[in-house]
Amino acid sequence: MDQKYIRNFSIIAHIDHGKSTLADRILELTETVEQREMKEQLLDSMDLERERGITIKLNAVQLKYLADDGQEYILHLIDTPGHVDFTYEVSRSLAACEGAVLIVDAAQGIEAQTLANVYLALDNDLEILPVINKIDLPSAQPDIVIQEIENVIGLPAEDAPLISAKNGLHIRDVLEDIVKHVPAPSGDPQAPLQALVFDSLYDAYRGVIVYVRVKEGEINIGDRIRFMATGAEYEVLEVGVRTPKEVRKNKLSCGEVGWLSASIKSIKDVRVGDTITHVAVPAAQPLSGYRVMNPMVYCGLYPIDSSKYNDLRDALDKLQLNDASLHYEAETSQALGFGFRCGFLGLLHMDVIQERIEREYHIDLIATAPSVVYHAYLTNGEMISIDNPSMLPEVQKIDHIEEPFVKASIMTPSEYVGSIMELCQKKRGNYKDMVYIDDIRMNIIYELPLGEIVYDFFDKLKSCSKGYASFDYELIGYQTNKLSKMDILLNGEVVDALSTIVHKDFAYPRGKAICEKLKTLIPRQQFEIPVQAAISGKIVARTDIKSLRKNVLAKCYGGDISRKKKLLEKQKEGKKRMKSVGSVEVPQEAFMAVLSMDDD
Amino acid sequence: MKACYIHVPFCTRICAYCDFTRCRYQASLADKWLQRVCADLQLQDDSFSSLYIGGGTPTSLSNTQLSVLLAATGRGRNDEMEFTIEANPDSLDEQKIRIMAKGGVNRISLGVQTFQSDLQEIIARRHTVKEIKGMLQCLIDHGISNISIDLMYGLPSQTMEKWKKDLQIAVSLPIHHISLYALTIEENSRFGREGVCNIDPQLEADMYEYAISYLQEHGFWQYEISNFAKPDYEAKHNIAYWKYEDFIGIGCGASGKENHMRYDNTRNLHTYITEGAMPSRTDLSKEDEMFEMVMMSLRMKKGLCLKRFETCFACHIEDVYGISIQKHIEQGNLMIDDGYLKTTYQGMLFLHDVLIDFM
Repeated sequence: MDQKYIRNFSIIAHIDHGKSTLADRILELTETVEQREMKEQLLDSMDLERERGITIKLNAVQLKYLADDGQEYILHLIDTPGHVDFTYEVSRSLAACEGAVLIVDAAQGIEAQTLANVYLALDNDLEILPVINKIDLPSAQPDIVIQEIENVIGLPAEDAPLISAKNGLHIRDVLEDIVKHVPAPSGDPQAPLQALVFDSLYDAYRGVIVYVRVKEGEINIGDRIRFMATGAEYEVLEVGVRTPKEVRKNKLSCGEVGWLSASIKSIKDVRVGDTITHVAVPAAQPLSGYRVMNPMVYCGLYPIDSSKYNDLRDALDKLQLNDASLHYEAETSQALGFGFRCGFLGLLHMDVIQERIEREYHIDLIATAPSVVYHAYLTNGEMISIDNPSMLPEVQKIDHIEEPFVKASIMTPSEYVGSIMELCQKKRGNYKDMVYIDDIRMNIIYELPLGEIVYDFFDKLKSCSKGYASFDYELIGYQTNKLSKMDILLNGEVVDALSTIVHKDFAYPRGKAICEKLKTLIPRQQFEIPVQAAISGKIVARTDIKSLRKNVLAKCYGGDISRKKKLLEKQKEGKKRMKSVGSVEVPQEAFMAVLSMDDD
Repeated sequence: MKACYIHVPFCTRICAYCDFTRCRYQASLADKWLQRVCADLQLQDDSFSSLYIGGGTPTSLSNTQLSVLLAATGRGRNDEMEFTIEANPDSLDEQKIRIMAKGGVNRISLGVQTFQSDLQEIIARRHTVKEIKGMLQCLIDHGISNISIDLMYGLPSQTMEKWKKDLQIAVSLPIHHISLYALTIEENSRFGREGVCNIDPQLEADMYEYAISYLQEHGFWQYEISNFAKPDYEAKHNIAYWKYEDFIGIGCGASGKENHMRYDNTRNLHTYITEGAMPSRTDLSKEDEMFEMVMMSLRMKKGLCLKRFETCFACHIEDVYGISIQKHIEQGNLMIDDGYLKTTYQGMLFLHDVLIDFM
């Protein structure tokens, strides 16, 4: 098909503004999927995504649309993940498009992720088409939202389609907008091949399936290709598109979006953002924008039952086949035994992986508190990256420590500004800026240590703004700070899995809060357990878990047998979720307690 | 012969800690309930090894209802057997005592709970030591001399001093049996709904251990975790539960165990009156029964009779629970003595931790 009838677009939105629902309606309207085949939100194919209402893995679908001008167009809808952890992936998906449909909720207006996504789209020179969704809601205020889009983003929005994706209202208007306003691809079919890799997934039979956008040239079956960043070379075995069913083709033409397989066994060869070219006639330059993604957050994952260590390794192996951003290596903890240090793009990514291991591979896990990557500069001039606080060298050997900072943009109704600023101060934030979005909403900019937001910042933000504030962040680099390692001792012994890196000015209250938190989480045992926090061997906080003197139900008569047995079963279940650390039984949640901030 | 339990689901007043099947007493409702219970009793052919009427508050029934109920037990009764009724001091008077004695009752379990008036207020009870003494004398005068009282510890605001006083009074009374209950806050009780908290577990443990030694000194032998008796006054009916023998449960909210099956009668009074006991039944596997026998028997100081275990299950206990038994013998929680598996003092305090390893 002629390139001028191809349109490549994404849908961008804040979470819950209706991205997946609009995608479903578009699939229905173009009869790409028959009604009866429709599962709710078809593009989110993993159960977990569906449950959490978020899209984690990307997908690309080819649609045929007969427009009002009588012409049939080929549309490629490239779905993007809707979470801040996956900003880079989103940017690469957008780079595969010429346009983006920007959904804004008619009742909520612009949110932090709306803006973040708009900026990503602008970075990629996309035509942005605003769409106002959920106009069926009684609280919808389309006029105000249109004004907001014009004022805050600077996009003309007076002609934006007013739709209800849920009820299928005015969906056709969106498609007409796409056909009219999104530019057709403009690559040269004769030029050397440049195809952008924007996603991949692993198929047990065919190896890695690579999703690409052909920017220049074309890909044919049998072509010898090279991944320009990794240097890996393969012979193309299959190419095709998804509708969303997989359809094989002979070639992917210039401007098209589709998939290819080439018996690629290692996902490490296939990096999102890389450029594929021909070995015979290579492109002079790769496409711009490629980055090596490094994990932002690390944690230790340990099987509660140590005999499941190999099962955990298998589970991580399998998950990594589909997820090149998951890093892991074997790690040993004195407290927890054999496990893995795992790196993630962010907290959501970490949660999803943990949950999949527990749910799909049936391995009960202990997860240590997430840690960011610190840079420790040693007195001998060397710099080492520390992703596990317990690995920090002795104080005498350290000159200074740097920690990663982010620029956070928080959008909130103005009445919550006070409590949000208080939260940011408490999280060691540096105030940068504050601007009015409209009469009642503000955008607050703070620089925050990533280590402070990795745990409960988002929850705290939601609770201090009654759920109204939205949040987005980007990494801005490392800053030196007065940081040191805090150890936690249970029954006099350092539990390495509980070590954290803290700011010295915050060490005392933090140590006290952690000890108190642990006291509530670790059940009483037959002996008294001192809980201590220490910095360079000096105790900064202490509390004691009193001993348990008895564990027996006083009353038990005939009718109580089943009740009593249930109680015992519950206690047994609880014991199963605990790990013996020295002589102390420690429950799973305790390992996250070190990040608890309930010190107010 | 089996032990038989009859549940009276009525109370004149609902106690703040209680989550048993109970409702406020209403004469007409109680009449209908009584008809059903009497009919159920008619179906029992065998005579009972012991009989226990509990609740709820059996003494909340009217005098007539009480005599009808006692008369209905006649078929399964014999003179030698232990026949206990629970009584609330607030609703026990001489007339009721006379009816009980006439109806064959020979043992009373009196729900005193506490003698301290401030604590009584918390659990909505009202009776003086003098009144209790009068009641006991009256019982003895009518030939019911086998008397047990219930006492509670771990009540909100209860101090060690108050607890010591209660025990002191208890041992001075003409009784032969004392049951001690730690307050457990049940979700479905008024305390539970009001968010009342348990007292400091240290204090609760102190109260328990103090009671064990104090009662021992005063001639009450601890024969079960929460039960103390003068020699030969152990509750035969309750021992049947703890030995894991079969027992019959009659009435709304009662449970029973017969022929490798446990049943729980409906807890809904309306259902019971209109449709009958409607028991929900659970078949007990051999594994269930083995564990439950251990669980119940280890509550007794005497422990589990190994011979009885072998007879019931045709296997040696060591072949089933050998590892757990060994572990807890080494940890000083269990011992085998004279054909019985029993807990040590420490093992009794931590019985749950011991039992978990048998599950």
